[in-house]
Amino acid sequence: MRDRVIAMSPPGRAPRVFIALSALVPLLLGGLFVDAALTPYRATLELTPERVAIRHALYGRSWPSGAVEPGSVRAVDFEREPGLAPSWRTNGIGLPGYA
Amino acid sequence: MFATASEVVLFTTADGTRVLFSATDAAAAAAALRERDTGSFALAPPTAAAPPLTLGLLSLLLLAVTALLVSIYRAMSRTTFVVSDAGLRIRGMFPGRPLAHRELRLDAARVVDLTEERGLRVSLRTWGAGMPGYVAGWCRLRDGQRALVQLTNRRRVLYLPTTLGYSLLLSSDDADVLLAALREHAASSSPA
Repeated sequence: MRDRVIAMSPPGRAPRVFIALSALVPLLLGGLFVDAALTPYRATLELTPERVAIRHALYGRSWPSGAVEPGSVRAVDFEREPGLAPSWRTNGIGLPGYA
Repeated sequence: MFATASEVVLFTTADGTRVLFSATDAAAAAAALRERDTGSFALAPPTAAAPPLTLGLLSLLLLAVTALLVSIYRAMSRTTFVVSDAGLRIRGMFPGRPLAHRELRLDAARVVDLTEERGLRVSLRTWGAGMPGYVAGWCRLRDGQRALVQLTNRRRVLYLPTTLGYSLLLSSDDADVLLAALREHAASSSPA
């Protein structure tokens, strides 16, 4: 006799909605991760006569230029002053090579 | 803190915020800040390719999850039951091995409505895939039986016990046709 091929009942709306929503979450997270990976390549320190600003996608901030205490400004090398190196992140992004 | 390299420019603001920024030229940025010059200093690129690599790998993992979900949907949309002289074969997710006609207890098989036959409902999925409106794989039924199930529409289900210690529950709008085909093939393939 010839083989008979009989289909399973097609899935209803519930599994389609479940899969669509479940697939959306990792896609959105993946997009967020890609964006976060590019963040270090886009951050800048902007100095204008009016303001000092950190341009950063998530943690950008700006201050009036007069708010920076000139005496506090200096270049620091973490290897010479390890006490200033990050030890504990309380809020933010942290990846190997980027804090 | 915005640190990608060991050299940073450090400054404190009137509100007490201490800012550390790994400018590409930390010394020049510090001088510009002291002199209140204008300028734009990019964050030094990370010395290692670690940030994009780490997040790239994570994104790949998430893409794999999405691909898995899509493949589950494709599998559930294409599941078929093949009846031949050799027996019954399930083509789809968690198909189990092909079953010979002698292993199928066609005398006890029937088309059931699981919304009414509560004893045949799935109580525990032991291996397989499950989501609202779909179950495929190995399960325990409420009445204690082991079962290999392929369920979408719970109102048209072929309940098919086997001689192997488990039953099959197969959703098909043509469940009657499936049962009739199994009986026909079993009759034609059995020794006279």
